Amino acid sequence: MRSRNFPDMALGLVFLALGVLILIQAQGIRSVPGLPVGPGLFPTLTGGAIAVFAVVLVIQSWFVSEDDVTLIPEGAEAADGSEPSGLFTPFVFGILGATLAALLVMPLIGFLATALLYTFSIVLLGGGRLRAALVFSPIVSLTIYALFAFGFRVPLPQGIWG
Amino acid sequence: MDAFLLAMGLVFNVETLLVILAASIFGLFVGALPGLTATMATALLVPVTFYMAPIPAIAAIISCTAMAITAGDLPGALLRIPGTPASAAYVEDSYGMAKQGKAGLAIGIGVIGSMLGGLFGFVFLLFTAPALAKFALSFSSFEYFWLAVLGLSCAALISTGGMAKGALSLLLGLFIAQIGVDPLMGAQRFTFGFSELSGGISFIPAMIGMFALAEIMRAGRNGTKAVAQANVGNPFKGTLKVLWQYRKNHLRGSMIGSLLGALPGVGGDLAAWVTYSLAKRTSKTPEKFGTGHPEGLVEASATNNAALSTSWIPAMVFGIPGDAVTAIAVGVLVMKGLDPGPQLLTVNPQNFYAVLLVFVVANILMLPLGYVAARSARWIFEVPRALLNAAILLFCLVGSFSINNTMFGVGVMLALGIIAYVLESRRFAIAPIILGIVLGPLVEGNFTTSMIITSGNFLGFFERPIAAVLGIATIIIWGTAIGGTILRAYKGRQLRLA
Repeated sequence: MRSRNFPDMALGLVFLALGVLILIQAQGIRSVPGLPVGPGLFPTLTGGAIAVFAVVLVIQSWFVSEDDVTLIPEGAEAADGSEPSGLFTPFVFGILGATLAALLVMPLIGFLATALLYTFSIVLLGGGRLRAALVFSPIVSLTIYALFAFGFRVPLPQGIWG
Repeated sequence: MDAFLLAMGLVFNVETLLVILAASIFGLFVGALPGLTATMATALLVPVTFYMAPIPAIAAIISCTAMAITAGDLPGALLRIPGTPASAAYVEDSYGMAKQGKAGLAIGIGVIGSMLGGLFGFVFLLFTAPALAKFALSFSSFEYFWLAVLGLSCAALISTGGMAKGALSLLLGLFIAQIGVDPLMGAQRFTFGFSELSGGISFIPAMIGMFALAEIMRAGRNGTKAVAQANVGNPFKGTLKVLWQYRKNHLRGSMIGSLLGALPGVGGDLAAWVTYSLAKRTSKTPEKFGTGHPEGLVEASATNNAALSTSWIPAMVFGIPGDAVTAIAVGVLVMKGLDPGPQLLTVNPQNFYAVLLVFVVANILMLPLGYVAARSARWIFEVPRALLNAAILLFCLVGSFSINNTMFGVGVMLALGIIAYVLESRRFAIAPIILGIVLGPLVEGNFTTSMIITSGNFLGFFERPIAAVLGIATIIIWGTAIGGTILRAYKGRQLRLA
């Protein structure tokens, strides 16, 4: 028995929900008196189109088997030549977790400290050796810090050190 | 002539030349590494261009992209892993040549062929852009609306995954562009009470997330494990002889690449596949293709850089980018106060000529840098991926932060990176999202203006001749796509029931 393309169907439903949300929000945008169109018109068209194509995707995914849709983008298939083991692998979760953690702690401990911890964890996460992580993370952190803080005069977060 | 002299001053100065050199080296390095793309290189470069003058900023984008695309041939020839989708068209031949002990020749053809193709595209751009600019001066909001929609439609429908997914990607980008204050009437839209959203979603963190963060996650922990099986000698030895032998292929590839590159949504990737197929069909020895035969390699490598040059035609003349890279470039132009469009060529022609000169410098620079890259390919491939990932991701963080000096940009980068990663895994194209983000204000602005002019009458969009032609073309394209999708679905169902 052919399996339905449930991942695409799920994405179609998500897009459908997004389209409906846009339509609802667009109806609440206040029009400008005296003008034939308001700021909500274009969002209405966008939301409506999203909803329509989402329905198309849901219908398509019902009739098109999961096996007929490759999980690998064509460019990726040509690039790495390997079958991915899953969408959210431990590596991916680690990247996202580390990035989220950096987002949360950077205002507290500053960019430089965050960069050190972040790059250290990413190197280890990527299979790098401990020694490589210890050596590389200060180098890349200081280099990028210098480039942006002194080169481009970007006021990077100082956190508790500032 | 005055404008051209001014342009030379804008380009041939220390700052701009150093930027071109540095961006080229960066693009070469990123393009040569399997799993890293030219678009990623460009996206990573944009935060740096934020602090540059306009011409050096654009020069950085052009140089980086041109070099990255050319460098994509290196892993194709030495690892059988094409660095770009365009390189994938001829990877079997380039790798086959390497197995025959001709790795240097394969790379040399790619480098010199790309340089010549890029220069051909530059000439095409030089002569066609001014004429189109004069033509575009007569455009009103109606023409710009339909032209933008037509370009976006081509990009969406040509993408992998099919019509529905391409359209949804495009519409998602358009929606993201609508977040924030309405540009014409100042109304808050889709901010949900968050003050950070009032300024809209900056396209720079969006790009970084979608092209860099998503790419790192997609490439995986180790990227691609492979070791070059061949050492590269002098990559230019014997190359000119081969190029002369297949000069007709090279010329045809350059011409077709220039024409296709000027069409919105096509770009160098598809163009390279087209010309490689054409070379095979017209060859006297088609059976040799895919076995290490240089004929297709000569034609397609000229195509991808020619298309890269001419893809700037719609971007600069009409302000409508045709692919992700030129979408990024248009964003940079707008950020620098150089609004693309016919005025760029008529009011400030020196800026246009400066961009053209950058193409020349960047393409010529391919020769020495391509040589160095070829000779140092093994070292480039052996850079540990874990270290690369760490450096790239940190750059993503600081690049996203530096645009507005808030952590909100980092949050945008993270969110859109996740979205792009998930969508791309299901064959949603990402380029239409960026195109939608960049062109959203243009589309909506012209649409709203046109609606006000016609008092809300949609038929007014077809009253002007050029607008009518563009509008009808758009409708025909979508009608054909929808009809084709329905027909394929019906036939597929019939086959399954049989």
